[in-house]
Amino acid sequence: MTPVERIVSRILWWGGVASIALMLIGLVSYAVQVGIGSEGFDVPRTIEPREAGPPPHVFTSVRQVLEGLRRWPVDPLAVAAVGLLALACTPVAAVVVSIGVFLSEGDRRYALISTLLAAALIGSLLMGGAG
Amino acid sequence: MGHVAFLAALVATSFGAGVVGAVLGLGGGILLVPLLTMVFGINLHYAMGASLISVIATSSGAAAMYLRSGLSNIRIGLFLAMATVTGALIGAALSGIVPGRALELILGLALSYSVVVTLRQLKVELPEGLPYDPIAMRFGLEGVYHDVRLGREVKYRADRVKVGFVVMWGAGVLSGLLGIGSGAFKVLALDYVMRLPMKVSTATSNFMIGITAAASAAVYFGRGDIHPMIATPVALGVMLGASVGTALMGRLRNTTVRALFLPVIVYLALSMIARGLGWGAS
Repeated sequence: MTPVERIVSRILWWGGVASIALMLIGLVSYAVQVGIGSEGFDVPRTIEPREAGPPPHVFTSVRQVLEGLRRWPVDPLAVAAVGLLALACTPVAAVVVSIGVFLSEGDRRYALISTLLAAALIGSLLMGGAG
Repeated sequence: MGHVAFLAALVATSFGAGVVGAVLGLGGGILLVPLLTMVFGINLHYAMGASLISVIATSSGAAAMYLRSGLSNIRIGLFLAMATVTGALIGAALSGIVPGRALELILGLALSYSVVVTLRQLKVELPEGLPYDPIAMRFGLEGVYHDVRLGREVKYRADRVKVGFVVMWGAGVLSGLLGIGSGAFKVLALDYVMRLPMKVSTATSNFMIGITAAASAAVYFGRGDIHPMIATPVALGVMLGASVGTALMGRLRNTTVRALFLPVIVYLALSMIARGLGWGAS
C-alpha cells in the first residue's frame, strides 16, 4: 500500500463512520424527543410532498442547519443533517488531502489531477449550496 | 408497519444493496430506488436522495477496504474521475435542453451491445499480457493485486485509455443529464474498453462513484430530497453491507463477478429502452 492509498482509505472509512454516527445520534435523539410512536416521527410516505409546501424535517441549506445547531436545545435533526453533509464531503476531503500526499511524494502530475478534481467538486458544492 | 419495523426493514434492505453494490461497483441505486418506491412506498424524490447517499456510503466503505487490498487503483480512479465529474456537471447543466427520451433509447441500445460483449467475455478470467498504451504508461495507470482466489499476484495495465476516457466522460454526461447512476457504465468502460481485470474494474468503480456522487450531492440537498429519516437507515445498512461485500468479493473469481454483473446490464438496457419508448412509469 502506498502512502496515498493508506491515507485516502482512512479518510473514506472514518469519514463514513463518523458521518453515519452523527446521523444516528441525531435521529435517535429526535425519536426520544418526540416519542417514537408519535405523529412527529411519521416516516414520510406521501406521493407529492412538494405540493404541500416545503418538506418537514428536511434541511435544505447550510444556514438552516447552523440555525438548528445554535438553538437550545439543539435541534437533533440538524445534527443528523451535519452527518449527511459530512458524508457528502468525505470523498471531496479524500481528494483534497491526496493533493498534499502526491506533492510530498513528488508526484506533481497527480497532485495537479487531484487539484483539478477538487476544484470541480468544491465548485459544485458551493453552487448547489447557494441555490 | 410500525416505525421501528419500518426503519429496521430499511436497514436490512440497504444492507443487501450494500453487499451487491460493493461486489459489482455500483452505488446500489439500481436496486434501492425501485425497492424504496415500490416496496416501501417512499416518494421518488426521497428515494433518489437516499440512493445518492447510499452511493457515497457504499463508495466510502468499499473503497476504503479495496484500497487496502490493492483492488481499487487510486491513480486510474482519479484520472478517470476528471472525465466523469466534468461530464456530470455538464450533463446536469444540459438537463431540460436535450431530449431525454431519445438519449435513453440510444443508451439502451448501447447497453444491449455491451450485454453481447460481456456474454462473449464470460469465460475470460484475466486479460492476457500487458498492453502498451502510451497514456497508461505515462500516467501510471497500472498496478498489481494479490488475487486470493487464484492464489497469486496479478499485474495489470490499462489499455485504450483515450477511448476509456471518452466513454467515462459520456457516462458522466448521461448520469448528470438523466439522473441515473453511472456505476455500471464505469465498470463496463474499465473492464471492456480498458481491459482491466473485472475485480479491479468494480473496485475502482467503487472508488469513483463516491467522487461523482459528491458532485451532485449539493443539488439534491438544496432541493430537500435527502430526508434524514430515510437516508440515515439507508446509509447505515449500506455501509455495513459494503464491508461484508468487499470481504466476499476478494474471494470470488473475476468470471463470477462478471457473471453477476450481466443481469444488471440486461436490466439497465431493458429499462432504458422502455423509458426511451415512453413505456415506463418514469
